[in-house]
Amino acid sequence: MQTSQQQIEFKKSFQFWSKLLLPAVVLQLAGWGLALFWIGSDKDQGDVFRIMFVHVPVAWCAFMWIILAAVFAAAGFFKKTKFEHFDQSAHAAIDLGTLFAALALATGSIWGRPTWGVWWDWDPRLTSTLVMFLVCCAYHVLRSFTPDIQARRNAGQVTALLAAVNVPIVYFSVNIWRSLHQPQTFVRKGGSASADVGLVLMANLVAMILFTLVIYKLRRAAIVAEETLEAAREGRTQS
Amino acid sequence: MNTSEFGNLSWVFYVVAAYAIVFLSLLIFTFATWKRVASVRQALNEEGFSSEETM
Repeated sequence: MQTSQQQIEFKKSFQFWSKLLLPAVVLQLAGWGLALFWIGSDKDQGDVFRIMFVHVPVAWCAFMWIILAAVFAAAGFFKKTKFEHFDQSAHAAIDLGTLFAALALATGSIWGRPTWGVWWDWDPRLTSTLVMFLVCCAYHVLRSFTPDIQARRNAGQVTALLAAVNVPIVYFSVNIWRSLHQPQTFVRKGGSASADVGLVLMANLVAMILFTLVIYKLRRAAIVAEETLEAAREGRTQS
Repeated sequence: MNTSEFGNLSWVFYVVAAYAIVFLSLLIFTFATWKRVASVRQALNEEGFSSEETM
């Protein structure tokens, strides 16, 4: 159980992040407005390329949250006194990683249909992303089927690290193997994207990261509350 | 692109579908998280634990 001072700090933090939810949503909608109505159409793909402004930030958020989950899990290994704290953080982060990996697959599939002519292909980028998503799902399955809290935390820690191993494989898959998916447009030298497109993409990425940061804080609050309730019930049963 | 199905506006279907999926997913996820916090706090109160102490 947390100390009173920690509880007060946590409550303040929850209220602070709750208030940031609306500005984050407004920023995200403004970013989408720029992507849909301000940027001109692409000479090759036409207007379908506007999907990029939602697909790319979603995919990068998936990478970010899965890597952060692994960082929290690894921190738990080294700092045993804060193991519970890091596990709750990793759990909230992998929740977001799972959601965003699913959204990256869904938006990628929708973009693939008009540009490649198929909804799905067993291409290295798509397949490795699917594997990453399935490892994230495995995290939730393992936690759900492990009644003991300590065993649950250990299983989660290992699975979060496994999920993060997939991130560089997904990212570099377009360079390593022959792929239907285009290589990195913005990161590699001589990329074909214009400055306007890059700017709007960055604005959308920042907005999406801010929004997910707010959801992460709320998600973590929910996990902490649930574990507190579980511990309180167990304590009452034992006494 | 197969334009016969949707005419010249076929891109609208794909773009709207992509944005709508992301928007609705984030909306549902945020709402579900918010409800989860509220319901656990209520459960804590009902069981005689102060949610003010645990949140």
